[in-house]
Amino acid sequence: MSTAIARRELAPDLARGGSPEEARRLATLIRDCEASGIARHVLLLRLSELPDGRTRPHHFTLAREALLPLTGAARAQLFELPNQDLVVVWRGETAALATSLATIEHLFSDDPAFGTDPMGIAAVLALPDDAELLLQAVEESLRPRQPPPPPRSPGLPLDPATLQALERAIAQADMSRFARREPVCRPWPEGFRLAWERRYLSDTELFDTILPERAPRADPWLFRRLTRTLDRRMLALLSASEELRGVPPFSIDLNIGNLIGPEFLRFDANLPAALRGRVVINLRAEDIVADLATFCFARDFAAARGYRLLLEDMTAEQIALLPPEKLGLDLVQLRYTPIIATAALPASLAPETVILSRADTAGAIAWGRAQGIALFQGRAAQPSSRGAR
Amino acid sequence: MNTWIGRPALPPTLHGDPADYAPGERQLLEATRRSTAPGWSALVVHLGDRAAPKPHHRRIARSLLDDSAQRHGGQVFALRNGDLVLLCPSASLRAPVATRPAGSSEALPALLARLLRPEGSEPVAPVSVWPLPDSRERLLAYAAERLADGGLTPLDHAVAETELPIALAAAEARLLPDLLHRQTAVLIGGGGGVRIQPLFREITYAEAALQAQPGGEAMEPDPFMVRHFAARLEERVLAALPGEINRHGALDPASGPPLHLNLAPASVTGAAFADLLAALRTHGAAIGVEISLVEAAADPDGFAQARSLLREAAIPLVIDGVSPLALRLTAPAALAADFVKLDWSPRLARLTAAEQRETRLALDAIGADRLILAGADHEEALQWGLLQGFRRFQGRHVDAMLAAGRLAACRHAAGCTLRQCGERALAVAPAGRLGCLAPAMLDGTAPPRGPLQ
Repeated sequence: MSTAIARRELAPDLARGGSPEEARRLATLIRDCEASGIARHVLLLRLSELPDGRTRPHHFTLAREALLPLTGAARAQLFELPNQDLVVVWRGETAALATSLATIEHLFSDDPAFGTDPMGIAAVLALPDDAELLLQAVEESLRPRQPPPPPRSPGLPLDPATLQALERAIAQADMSRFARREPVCRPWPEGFRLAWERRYLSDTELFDTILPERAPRADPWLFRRLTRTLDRRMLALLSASEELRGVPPFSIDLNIGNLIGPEFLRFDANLPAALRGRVVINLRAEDIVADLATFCFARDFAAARGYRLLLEDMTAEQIALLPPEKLGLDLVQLRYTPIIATAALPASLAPETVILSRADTAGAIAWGRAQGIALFQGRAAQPSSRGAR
Repeated sequence: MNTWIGRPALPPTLHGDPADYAPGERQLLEATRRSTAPGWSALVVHLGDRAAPKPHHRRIARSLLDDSAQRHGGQVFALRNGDLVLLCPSASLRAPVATRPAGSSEALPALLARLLRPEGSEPVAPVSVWPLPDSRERLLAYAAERLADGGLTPLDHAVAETELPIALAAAEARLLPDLLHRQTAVLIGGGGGVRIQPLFREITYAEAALQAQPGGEAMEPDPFMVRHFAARLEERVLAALPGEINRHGALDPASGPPLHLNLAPASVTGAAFADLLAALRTHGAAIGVEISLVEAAADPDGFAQARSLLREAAIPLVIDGVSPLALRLTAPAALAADFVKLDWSPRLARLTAAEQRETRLALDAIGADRLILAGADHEEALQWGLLQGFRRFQGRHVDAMLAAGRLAACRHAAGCTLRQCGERALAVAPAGRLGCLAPAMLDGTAPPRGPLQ
């Protein structure tokens, strides 16, 4: 059993990383919890994943200081892993978790090196449910560090002329090899069952293949425009004969313009009767706000044809700005983050209308279920059977 | 933007039999003449009368009519003016639109009326149902009238997509001042005996300059391309402004009420904005920042960072691009900005009782002291705003009021008209201000004051 390290003093050389013994002590604690069923909360801070240029000693000092409030929680123990990841394990609910997470977010939220997800380095887990994931983190920390791959050039953003050429190329390319499926699942006593599949084109793989020297997402609005072409190709794929015979319910990402476009009408005409009322259309917030009058038209048309509309990839802040009930939407995909896990579901959301995305850990599933959420998307929500309910 | 092309060159057969160039009208006329049996109706979708029909209105209406005709029997007639007519069994117009198990339980006329409900001041009902044979004469007269008129040709694909990049490239290559306008916002009814107090001067892009490019007229239906263009323009404005300080031009932040810049969140947190702030501090000049609702919705994290940076720098933040519909369907108050700018629409004066309630609730959630009414181009807008508690206004009517004040105060104004003075104040390019002998007055009628309060 490991030694309690409540309010442990900060080590002088914080960028050096902890000892293998410390990692092994954490592994023992995890296995003990797993064997005995003792519940513990865990905050894993993956400092080994800090972006380049953010690995100076003061970054480690600040990140570690952010965890100090948590070390005052009941039975709190702080572990420093050899790869510099920090892990705090404690018992019971504590307000200090929100304080620590807010401090971490504040530390990195203004830093463009973290992109749009400054909290991507933090994970709130629960023992014994997340034992496997945490043991994996310990194991990774003990492996000798690989030299980092050479940094990939970020690539040039799109410009209108390249966009035009790209749109033409996509219109003619074989897109079936970029078609992907991602399950949306409902928890069941014996595991997860498929509720529907999100069917989409992998734009990352597509762009890596046909335009590797460009960064299409660097110009967000030209990228949004490009997604219209992708939508049309996806609709064409789904409209092919036999493509939808016997398939489970599914969702597709669409721009509003494509929901009322000729390609969608062809898709709608070919939709098997068994799927009518079981197809979900995923919409983006910025697409809705960009033209609300057209959105209202498309929403009413889609509802009349039996489609359910989902507001995709939302944060709690976005939901405050775009209340789904005001917009008349059926479903909301809420992005799970460690921050959101410190609060209750936004009051404006009915749990039965929510799909929790990025549900990659048992902690995320547990939080979602505690909020009454019944639909999940992520690595921890994989179907044990293919049957959609 | 109107997506209809003008009266097309008429085919040579126009002077011959109308049947050759108006098959829809002709077929409708013949079918109506033949329709003597009871139990049938004509459903007329009046798209030709709409002030601003969009291609999707006709496409979706056509699809719903075709679907109904296929399921219940009937025939669809597409007319040259954009109208659609379905001749069908009357009972089918009472059946639910969607097949079971899901979809609308609404009947087709109700659904179409809801989808195509008029916006703004359009007086025409979007659909009519004429039972036959009672309304046979009416339908015959309607069909004959459609056959006789020249009609307009609706474009099903309004956006010539390949032309958009050409328009953008051409617009981006133009001189920066040619692409910009500057419009003053005012506080009305302020204390100290001042009735109209200039608050700030907003720099916007001149839509006319963009639409003058080949393909530019197609920009409006593509908000993504408009945002891209605006972002390129932001970069150029941010790069240019430090060099304009104390040069007494239209873009001089130090020469009048604060300049307001339209920026995306990423631009606010970028290096060019930091450079501008440093230059402004050196010269004691003030600015404000306007972020559109769509940009805030698209980049919530970036918006939060931008808001925090602006607060720290004591720069007022305005949320703009809030239409009356956006005011009711979204919650701009949640963005916790200093001000929210509502775009005026004549529709605001004609809201239903429910819409009025929703609008009032949304305005109250923001608070009158944080509201600006933009697009106040006519007195009606000003009157509505004042009644609702607005005190801050921006628009062509306000421009005219300011121009009138300048003309009264300017000793060089003898040869100037109100319109000339107003247009010169909007112009950013020196050419647009030519003829004014007191250009400093174009920056506002009242003495400069601090940032928006």
